[in-house]
Amino acid sequence: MLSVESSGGRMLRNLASVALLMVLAACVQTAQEEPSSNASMSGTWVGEISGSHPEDTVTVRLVLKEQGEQLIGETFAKDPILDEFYPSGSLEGMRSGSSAQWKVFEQSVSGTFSGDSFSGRVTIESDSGQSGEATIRLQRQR
Amino acid sequence: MPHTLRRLGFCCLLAASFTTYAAPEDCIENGGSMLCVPPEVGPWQYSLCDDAGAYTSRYAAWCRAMGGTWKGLYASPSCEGGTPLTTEGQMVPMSIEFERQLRGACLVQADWRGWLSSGSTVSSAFCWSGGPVFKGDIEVGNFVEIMTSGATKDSNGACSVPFAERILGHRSRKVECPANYRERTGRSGKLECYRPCLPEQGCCKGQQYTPANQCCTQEGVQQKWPIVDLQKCPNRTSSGQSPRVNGCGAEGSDLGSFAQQFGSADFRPHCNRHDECYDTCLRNKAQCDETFGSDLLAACNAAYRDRPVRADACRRVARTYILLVQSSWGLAAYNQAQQRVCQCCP
Repeated sequence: MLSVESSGGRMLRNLASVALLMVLAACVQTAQEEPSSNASMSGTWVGEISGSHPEDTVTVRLVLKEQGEQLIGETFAKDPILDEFYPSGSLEGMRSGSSAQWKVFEQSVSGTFSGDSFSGRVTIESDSGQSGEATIRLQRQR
Repeated sequence: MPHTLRRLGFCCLLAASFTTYAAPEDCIENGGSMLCVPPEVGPWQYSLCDDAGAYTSRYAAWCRAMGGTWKGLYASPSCEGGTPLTTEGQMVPMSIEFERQLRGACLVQADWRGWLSSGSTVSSAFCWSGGPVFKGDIEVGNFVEIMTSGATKDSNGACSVPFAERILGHRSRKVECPANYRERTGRSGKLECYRPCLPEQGCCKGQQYTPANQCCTQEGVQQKWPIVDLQKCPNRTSSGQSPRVNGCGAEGSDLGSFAQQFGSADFRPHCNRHDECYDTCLRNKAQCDETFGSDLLAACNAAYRDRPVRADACRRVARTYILLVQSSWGLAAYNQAQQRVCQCCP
């Protein structure tokens, strides 16, 4: 038996398809706008802390692990002369969405991460009078 | 008169007698505080005595019986040479020889009556009287009768003139406690040698010890050096060992490599100073660690005076060291060093 559709029914079906595609596209866009809210910061991160003085930089390596919203890990600082990493303290902090903050001894870090990048500010509080502010940029190592 | 000659006192060196020794209750081995040892038992000494008057002929006969040469009663010495009585087995043959020498006996026999049993006695006008003598449970003296008999020749040369006499044998030995020990008779009747176990006598808390390489402390006997347990040696003193330094880190440590510096901040002299501090007997660990910590942080601050980021990184590396020396690892390193550079007692 031959079935003949009306032109109005075909149009309705095309509209429904377009709407479905639009919803899907919207979902994909939302996911791209908040790329890291559900991602983990666990892993090894390497980067630099830079002070205001051009030679006041230190290369750091962080081995992070997430436990719920809690961040723990070990930090390493690279000797500026010998070019070797040495343990520089255990890290404890929190992550909420793409924001993260932690503390290692006198050093406090806060910033945001996006995928495999992290950037933020470092506050150094010291009794020795060597307090200051610095920036931190890290890249996750794959 | 050389009366002793008649009582032929010949000592012999026999193997000392040993008795099984059970330590009394207050002795160290039984949980007491006395140092106890068995008495020392000397060798038996034997002597013979003819039960007759003091005749010169008898002195001469004893002298010859033992193989000596009789020089006369007024010579000094009267008897020269000869083999002294050294064993119990020589007593009968020597008695027979005595009779031969005394009488020219052509026939002699001797009857050994045996050592007196406890409670028995002998009586003699010219020799000894009494019975067995004991010190504790150990016999130290006893007597034996040797009855000699036989015949001498008559005027016709026939061996027909009978004779008989009694010879007394005696044995004695010394039973003594070693020097510095006291004697007592225990409940079981045994002779015991004991002394209080005091440090100046080489005793400590119920244990014997050697002051040259051991110490007596409240916890008992301790090895002097190297110290085994520091807690048991509160009065320790320097052993005279030189401090050992090895920069940052520890010999034989499995904690990986240690930075000797961070950038231009040199940690090595401070690590060596910390090693020296641990390696000084009775130096306070907390003070060593505190000085070490402030030295390292000061080194970082001095090296990076206008570089707060590098100074902070340096201080954080330094702080891992500070935490390490304050940890159980640091305590073990301190104890190990103190065990070497101290001795448990002066």
